[in-house]
Amino acid sequence: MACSVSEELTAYFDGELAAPERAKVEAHLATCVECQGELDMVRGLSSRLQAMPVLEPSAQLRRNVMNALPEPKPGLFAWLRNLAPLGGLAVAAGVMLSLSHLSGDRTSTGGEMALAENLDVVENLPALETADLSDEDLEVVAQLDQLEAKE
Amino acid sequence: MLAVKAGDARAFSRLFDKYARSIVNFAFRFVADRGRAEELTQDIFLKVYKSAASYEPSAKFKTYLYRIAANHCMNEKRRGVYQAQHQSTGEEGAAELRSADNTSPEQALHGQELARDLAAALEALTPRERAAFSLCRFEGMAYKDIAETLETSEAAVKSLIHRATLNVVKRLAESGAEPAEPAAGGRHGVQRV
Repeated sequence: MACSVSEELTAYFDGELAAPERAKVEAHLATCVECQGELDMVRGLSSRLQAMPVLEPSAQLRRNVMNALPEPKPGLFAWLRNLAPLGGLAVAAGVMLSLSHLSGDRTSTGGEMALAENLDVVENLPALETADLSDEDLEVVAQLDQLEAKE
Repeated sequence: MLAVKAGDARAFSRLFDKYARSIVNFAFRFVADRGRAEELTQDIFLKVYKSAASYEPSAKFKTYLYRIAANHCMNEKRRGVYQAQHQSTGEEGAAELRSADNTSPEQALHGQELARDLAAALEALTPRERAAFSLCRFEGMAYKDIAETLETSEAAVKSLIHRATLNVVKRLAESGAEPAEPAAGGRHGVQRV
């Protein structure tokens, strides 16, 4: 392996040599049995690698990768949907305030108390994402001004 | 990849379908274990997705993908955590590999033995030699692209591939595996798996 072109043989086999270097290696190969043998070994390796079996990725891998993708940034609709629970709390707070007014308790701060009690919930956004806003809630919201008028 | 950069998950799934097989086999040549190779593949594709914003169209996507894959797999080997736990020689991993559908049982068995011997031979290489060898011999990449992938010079790649190739040839000869008929020559004679 002491030949001057020995280190070029792999690149020669891979077709990575420029024309002058290639010609030099070919001229050497014509006279050097040792380098011919080394080149044959490299060729033999390539043939064997062609016979190598392969690993097929499992269907589970695909599912794992797709399920692990980060959620896309929310659009306007998703943003509004996330606000819905906040709306529900606002409704609840509004109802508390209205009932407080209806009961004539001017000194009581029941609505404010309700808000204060829910303040930690308002600040806890993950909890809000799971809150539901029922049709009844929405109906109360729509009729809040009527409640105020009756007062 | 530009569509992935724009947040198109369907474009990403198409990229996955196109390259998953190559990447899982690339990773397998580092760890010789199917389960771990799939975990590495998952990590690699998620890194690709998360770093899509920094992808520049001037770089070939394949080079970009394999740069992430090579760095991830080389780090895995350098950490040495996996080897310490498993000490795999490729014996179990080789049984996970699948031969082509038209392969006879004898050829399939020969393929499994070759896979086991190759896994043992690859263990003797440094992580960079292993990466360069795999990119050249299995992915059919040109030295220039391998240099870009491994962020080194073409001269360094030439040296890495030469050392790795001779080392693998020597190890396979020592294992007593039957030599195959010589290939016609060049990287074109190597089947891309």
